[in-house]
Amino acid sequence: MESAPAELSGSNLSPLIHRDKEGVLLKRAPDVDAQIHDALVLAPAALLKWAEKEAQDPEFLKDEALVFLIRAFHKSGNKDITNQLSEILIRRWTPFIYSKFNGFVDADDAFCAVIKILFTHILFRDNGRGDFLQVKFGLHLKRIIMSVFRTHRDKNEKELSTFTFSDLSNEEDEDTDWDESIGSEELSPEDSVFIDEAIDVLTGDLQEVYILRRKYDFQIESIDPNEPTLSKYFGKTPRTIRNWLNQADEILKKWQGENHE
Amino acid sequence: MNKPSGPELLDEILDAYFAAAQIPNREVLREWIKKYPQYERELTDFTFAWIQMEEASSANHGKPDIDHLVLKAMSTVQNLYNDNESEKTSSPINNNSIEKLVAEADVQGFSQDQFAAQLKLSVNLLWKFDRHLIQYSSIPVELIEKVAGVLHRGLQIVAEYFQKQPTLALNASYKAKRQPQVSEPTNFFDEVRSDTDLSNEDRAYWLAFEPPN
Repeated sequence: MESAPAELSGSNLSPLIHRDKEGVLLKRAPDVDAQIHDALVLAPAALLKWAEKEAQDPEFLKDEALVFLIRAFHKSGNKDITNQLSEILIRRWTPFIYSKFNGFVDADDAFCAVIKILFTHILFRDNGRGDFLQVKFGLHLKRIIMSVFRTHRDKNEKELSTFTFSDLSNEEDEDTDWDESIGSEELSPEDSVFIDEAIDVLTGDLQEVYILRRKYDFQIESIDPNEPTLSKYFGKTPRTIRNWLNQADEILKKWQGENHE
Repeated sequence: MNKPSGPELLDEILDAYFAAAQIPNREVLREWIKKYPQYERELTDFTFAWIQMEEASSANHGKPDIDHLVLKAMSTVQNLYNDNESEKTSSPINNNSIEKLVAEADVQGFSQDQFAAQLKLSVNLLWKFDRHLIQYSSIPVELIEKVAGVLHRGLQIVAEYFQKQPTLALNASYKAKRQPQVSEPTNFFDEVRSDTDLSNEDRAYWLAFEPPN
């Protein structure tokens, strides 16, 4: 039998090819596929009107379907509708993306870096990784934001933490009465509010260690080698971490006294 | 396929960890360190950066100028689209409508068997498509994409073709006194299940796209 001509397999558009960790082919949700079916046979004006519907509208055009359509119209060479659909997708997500770079000196650059990766994945699907955008858009977008955040974090160390590492006491011989049980029980709503307020009072590593302990319940030290501890992460002895937590406590007690009495 | 290793594997692990955790938390991190002790440092750094990001976004830094940001973003996207222009011109899209799939295959110099094989369909199914006997809403988007890719057509052109009204078979002779009736379109997946010309592999391929009831 003759083999198929090479150009037959050189398709511009191809089905999802990425597989999950279990080897199962990624699939769009049935409601996304149904929206794509409907969208493909609409006139451009009607499609744009649909895409502009708000998220709370029951007929909201899902991001996963929008990603598919942007790619499809781009590949068809339809610039107008590609641009308009792209802008709708960007406008939907701009506040969320930008909020993740809150206070960065290069927040605009970080935001644009996310957009660039996002649309590279939409257009080229990056060896299948962009397939996730048609299956779980929000999750994949957050993963892109995380990558960019980590790249830009170092440039913004100062904005994220004005309390530099060297400012912190490293003394090993100070007494500590840090209560180990704090953070191990579920936080009350009042505690949560207090910690959220405390974020602005504390800075730098002191803020980070306090939040990791109080809000996320990370241990100072552990005999379990798999336990992610503050001591390991900061590369400091448990006693130093306790001292930091004591310093944080003192600052917060003072702040609480001044603001809540 | 080679198994990923090094940075590629780490990236996959971080992807999977991110999807599994949903929000940064100590318990899930602990589980993943147990699974991948060689990446303890990377998993911990990743989680703490994640926490830092979540905490930073909850701080109030004023309202951004959304219109200005959208403009900047569109400029970035335009550059990407322009860079991609050269790729498209090497395989131009034909925007003529499709009359018959079988005829398209013929025009491009391919046998029906070759064409059907590319689409992972049987020739019998191609004929049914040409008579529009398959419900459009049941046709997987993947098939619309495949046809568009193989024929270098826009997806809308292919979708329009699949949406056409059913027709009678050409060259068929009808001896009954009553006017012949056009069959009602049927579900794509039912056709795939009952098509004896389809290989088991191709049948399984398409049935994997069947939506759950």
